[in-house]
Amino acid sequence: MSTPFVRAVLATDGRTDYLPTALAAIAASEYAPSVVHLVLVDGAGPPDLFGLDVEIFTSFVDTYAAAIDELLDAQPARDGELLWLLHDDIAPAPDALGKLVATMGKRPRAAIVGAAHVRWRDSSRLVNLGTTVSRIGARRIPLVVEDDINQGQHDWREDVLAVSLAAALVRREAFERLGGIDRGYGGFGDSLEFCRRAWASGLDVVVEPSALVRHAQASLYGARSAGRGRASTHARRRVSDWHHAFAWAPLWLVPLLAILVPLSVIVRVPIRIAQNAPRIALAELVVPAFLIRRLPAIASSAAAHRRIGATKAIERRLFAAPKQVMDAVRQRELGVFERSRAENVPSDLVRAELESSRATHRLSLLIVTMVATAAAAALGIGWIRALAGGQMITGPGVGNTGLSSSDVWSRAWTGWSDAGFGSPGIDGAFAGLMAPLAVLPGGLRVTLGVLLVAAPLLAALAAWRAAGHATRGSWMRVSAALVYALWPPFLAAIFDGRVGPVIAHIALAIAADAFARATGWRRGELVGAREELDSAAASPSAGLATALALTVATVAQPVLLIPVIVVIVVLGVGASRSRRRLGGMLSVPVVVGLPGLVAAARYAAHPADALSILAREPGPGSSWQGDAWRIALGVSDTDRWAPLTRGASVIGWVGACVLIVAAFAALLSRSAWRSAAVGLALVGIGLGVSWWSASSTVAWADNAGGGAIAGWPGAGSSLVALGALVAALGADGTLRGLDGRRFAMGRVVGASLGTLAVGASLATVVFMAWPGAVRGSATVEASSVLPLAVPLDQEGPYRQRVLVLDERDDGSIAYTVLSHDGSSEAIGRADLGPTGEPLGTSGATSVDVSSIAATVAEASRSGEANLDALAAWGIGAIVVTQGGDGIRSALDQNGALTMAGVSERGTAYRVGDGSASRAWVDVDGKKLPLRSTATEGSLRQYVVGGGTLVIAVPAGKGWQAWADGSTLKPVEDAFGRAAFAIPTAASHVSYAYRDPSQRWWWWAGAVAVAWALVGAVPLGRSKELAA
Amino acid sequence: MISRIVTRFTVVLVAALGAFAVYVASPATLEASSSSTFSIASPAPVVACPGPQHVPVGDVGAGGDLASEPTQRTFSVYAPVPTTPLGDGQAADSAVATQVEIIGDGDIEGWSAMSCGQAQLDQWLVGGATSLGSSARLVLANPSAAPAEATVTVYGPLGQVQNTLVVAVAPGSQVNKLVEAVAAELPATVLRVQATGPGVVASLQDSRLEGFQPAGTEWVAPSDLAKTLVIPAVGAQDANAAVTLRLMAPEGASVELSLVSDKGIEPWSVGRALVLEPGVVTDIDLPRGLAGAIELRADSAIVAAARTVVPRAPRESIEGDVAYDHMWVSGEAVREGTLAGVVPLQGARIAVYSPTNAHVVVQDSGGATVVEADLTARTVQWLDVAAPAGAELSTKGEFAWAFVLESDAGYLASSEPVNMDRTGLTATVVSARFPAGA
Repeated sequence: MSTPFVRAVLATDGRTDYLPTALAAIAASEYAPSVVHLVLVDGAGPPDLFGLDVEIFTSFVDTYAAAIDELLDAQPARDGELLWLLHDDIAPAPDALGKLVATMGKRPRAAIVGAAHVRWRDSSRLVNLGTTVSRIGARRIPLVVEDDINQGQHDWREDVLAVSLAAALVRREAFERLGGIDRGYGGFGDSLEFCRRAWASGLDVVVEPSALVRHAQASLYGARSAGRGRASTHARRRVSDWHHAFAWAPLWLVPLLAILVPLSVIVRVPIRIAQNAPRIALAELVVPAFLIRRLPAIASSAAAHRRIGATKAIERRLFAAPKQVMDAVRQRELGVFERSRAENVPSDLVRAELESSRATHRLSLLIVTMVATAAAAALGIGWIRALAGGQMITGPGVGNTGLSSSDVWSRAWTGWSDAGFGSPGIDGAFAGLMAPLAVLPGGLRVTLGVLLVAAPLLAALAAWRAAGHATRGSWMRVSAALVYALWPPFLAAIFDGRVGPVIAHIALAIAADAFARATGWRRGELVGAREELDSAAASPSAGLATALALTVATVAQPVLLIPVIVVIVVLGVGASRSRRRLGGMLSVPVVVGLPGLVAAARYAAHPADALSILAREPGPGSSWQGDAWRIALGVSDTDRWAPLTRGASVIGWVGACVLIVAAFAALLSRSAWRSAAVGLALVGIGLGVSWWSASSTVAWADNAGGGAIAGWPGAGSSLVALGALVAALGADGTLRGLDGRRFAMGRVVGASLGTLAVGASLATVVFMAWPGAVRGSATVEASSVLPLAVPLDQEGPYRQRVLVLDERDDGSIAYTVLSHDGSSEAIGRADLGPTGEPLGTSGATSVDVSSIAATVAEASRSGEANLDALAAWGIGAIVVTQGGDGIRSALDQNGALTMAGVSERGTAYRVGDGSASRAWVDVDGKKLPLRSTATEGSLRQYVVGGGTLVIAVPAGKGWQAWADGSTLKPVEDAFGRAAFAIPTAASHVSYAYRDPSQRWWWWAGAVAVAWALVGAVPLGRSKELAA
Repeated sequence: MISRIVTRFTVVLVAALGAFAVYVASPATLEASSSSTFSIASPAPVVACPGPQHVPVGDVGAGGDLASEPTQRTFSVYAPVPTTPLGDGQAADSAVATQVEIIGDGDIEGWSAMSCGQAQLDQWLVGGATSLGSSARLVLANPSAAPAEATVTVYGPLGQVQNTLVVAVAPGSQVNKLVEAVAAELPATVLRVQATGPGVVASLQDSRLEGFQPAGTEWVAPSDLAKTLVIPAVGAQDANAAVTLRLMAPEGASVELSLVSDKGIEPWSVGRALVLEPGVVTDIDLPRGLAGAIELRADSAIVAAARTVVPRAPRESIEGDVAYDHMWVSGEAVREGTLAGVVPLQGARIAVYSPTNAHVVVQDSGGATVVEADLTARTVQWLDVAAPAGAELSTKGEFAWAFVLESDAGYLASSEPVNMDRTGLTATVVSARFPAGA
């Protein structure tokens, strides 16, 4: 048998540094090629040839395939000639060519014999050992997992659908018969195309697993272009996958593939975001556009198949079965292989130790869950009963918590506050926070109530997780979780109905947990002297989870936004390696909180007001007066205990004292000073935040009856608790890794202090749960506060307002204008400044409900009162609460009112004929009401002589109106309402509240939150995606 | 090493600064929600008079010796403006009016008078009885153009009667209800009339029989509810006149009673605090021969009235029969202001009480002084009034008074003035949240 003629062809563009090594490897080949051609393309210069006999061929084409074709055109074929196609980033093993030639000799029908590709720097790691595709062909499936260790486990492979043409041996006759390398693929997927053509032409494709070549994959990693990493070529590779699918698809399958392309994008983009691979997500987005550009090349490929006769059936077993496809997805996309390998790294002994530790931690979790559940149940049993009975939790400054999901959405989407006569809000972020609760079964009434009742349990679970990153001591973990969950100001906030501080407290613990996982600043399980982490040290998903948790905390309590920014920026300065991830954590809260920052900046000339805006209370909560330092330090308020137990007031100090002293003591530790410093800094910042809140007017009068309120220092107190726990647990975590009697003593002292703090916390719970204790100002009431028919009018097509009159014991009359079934702090307060002006950018003036005070007074005392001012503001009903006999007497005599009904919730009257509406067209004194929601409405009726559109809201530039598509001009209104002149013969009048700055912010916030939500999903990813 | 020290120092400094700041933190100064007070134009006053009295049980024995229906009746309504019919009674667009009725025979023989009242939402009628021989007829009038609903609660010697009476009173109409239909066999009653809407004018006809003899008939006018009350006219010129004081405290009270004569406070054996159980109606007989007033001072709001009974020889009788007439004078809360009333009958006297040393001047509607007198503190004076029936008289100052009509034949009636200062209205309104929360 004669030695075949082997023509080695190595093309280089001179853009990589691997060529000398590649040439040296060819020179060292045990089986020397008959001739070696070095094709210099794109102006590459001749390299050092290591004494190799090389024929240099210069080409000016721009692709590898074209360069090969050009060379072969210049080199006549010889009988039985074999082509060895080499790249400049491939270094074959000395015996590789010999094995390829031998295999070619054994397989006369084989047109291509491929080599096994291994890593350039680690030849034990496999890169490629053949490829296949699914039947549809839109997904390339490698036959080995990338980076799998080559232990000969794939040596059985022989016939494969495709091999890489790089370093493959190809019969020249077949090469030319199959039309050469398809240039349309642009360098990716052309090997698969060529091999499939071979099979479809009746030829074989064989892989030789023992023929090893090191492959640097310069093209794949973008080293030949400006791109960096595999992500830079992802779009082209995906397009080539689709190219292959379309080119080989029968005609009937083409429409299905055309549908699959966008579907694939829709599915893949969120997954890529979840995998924190934003560059690849972007690449997935551009695939359809690139594919359209590729259509001529696809048609050309399909034509080539017919031209060369590559139309024979290919054995089904060569294609990937569905299970193989699924395995490939799990391994390649989701990184299952890497995780499995990581889990198997520790020895059996270590794994046993870890399992034992996990069992201990599970027990500690059970204890925390049981104790926190018992505490929550003991304190909230009355609320649980009330919620089950259809009541709601309310209280001073809380309002109605039974608001509908549409009310919540309206505030979140538009930012418009419907309190009183309405006003533009800074943002709708707090309502956005409530939106998920509102859509859950039971609505806001139940979910908000459940949240408050279950808050200690949620805080305990979050704190338990977070504590586990600072110390692996189970008891300390339990102690920290319970101390944080039963932190007295937190309990006080729950039972005062302060939703924002409660959410912020829980969110801060979640943020601490996610932060530790995101940065890798955490402790692993101690096995011997070594720490074993249960997952990757730092997680990008956790970074976005941190961002989300911080967003929740800062939306619930905006006073935390600036401190959060300061803390993360300082940490970023100190930890340069995590700077990018820390920046990501800030991005979402800053975007979402931007309107508040802007509003504060607009008041820069009045720093006290600006600080108050930054410290604003966005949700429910009453004004607070007292010693801020007591709240800040977490000292129990004995007024909330049963009178019998107040003598034990010293117990209320124990938890706070233990925690603060432990935090300061931790600072003296040599080993744990960093975490102690971070913790103590948090304590200091928390104290400062408490001062800030307590000395600020966190909400000014809302022009709807709600007065100004002073801030509750609870959010700062939560930071104090968090900081002290970070310092104390950090020290404990360090002590556990140190040997010696001194450290053992330290651990014992720490555990004792933890026990003391937990005992004090539990005692506080017992004292608050004791019969006779007044836990807070929140109470339970019927979920609907207005008589039955009235809310129907409020939610009806004309969106009537309701005037509620309540005769007080001192004879004065309290009046409230409601657009909802009760005050609506639960979906966000009205954002008004110190003089009643809107803090949002779209409102210039704001009409106070006091403008109807005189009418209210007259109507409450005289049956002859003129009520036109009520109808002018869209008030369609008056409700007199129980006991208002004098008021009812006057209203009964008023001819402009009709009694609508009497119930235990009050007596309801309709104003006029009940036709009041939120907006109407005034045509010569006749009103044509518009069907309206809180922020928009329309009328389809022919308005012959023109008229005036009146919207019963304070005028502002956010209100816009149209007639038959034309924008209407605003006109002056005597009441200060939004009014627009309607031209003659208009047939479709509509209006809406559209605050452009709000809308921009909304979408920016929505995108940021959506990105963080998807990215926070802890979805695994392979190295390919990580690269 | 230096960086560690600097870092530790910095964080301690941050913590110390935070601690200092929070220690000196003072809560923000907040502007309280301001209330606004508005003066409301008073609605034109309208008074309603209940009209003639009825024989409670109908026309049993319409003729002969057992005739019950009166055949001699003089009924007059005096008002500064023309009156309009309102059910059996009449209404007048005025603040004051009075009705007087003289019945010469039948079961309800006697004199009766009362000042016509304005509609109220909550009023207490202290008087009447539903025991055998007694009848209490409640008259509710609604002179307004809006409907009203009245809820009548009856109190007796054993406290509040469970059953209440709910009566709808149409605009411009009058409704009569016999209290005995709701609460029979109560020797002493107090009625609370709570109304919705424009309120009602409530009056109670208290008519009694002693065997076959009339034992008095009179209208009971509302009593004030207050901690300090004065009943300005009790007793009569007849030395045999008997006086019964009726008291009730809705929430319970401890009451100090004082008898007042033209000389001052009279000694009285009851002169210690009287404890009233909540809702329990208490009758106390006063010493005979008294002609003066009663002061009541309680630690909780009470209502009160006094019934003066005068005996007389019956028109037709068998041996030993005695006929009576009576009058009810309700408790008045003494306050500074203008009291006005219409003289129901020529020859009426005024019993006027003053808590302080004062000079009382009774003027007619033209401002002319009809009668005047000096009063020492806590005394009552009986003044003769030289004014014709229908004359509007008024006093200014801190007084309580009543017209008393008395004949030598043993007939008796009284009417009390109305407070003219109540007509001014104000309303204090404040914008508030709802629900306010506990």
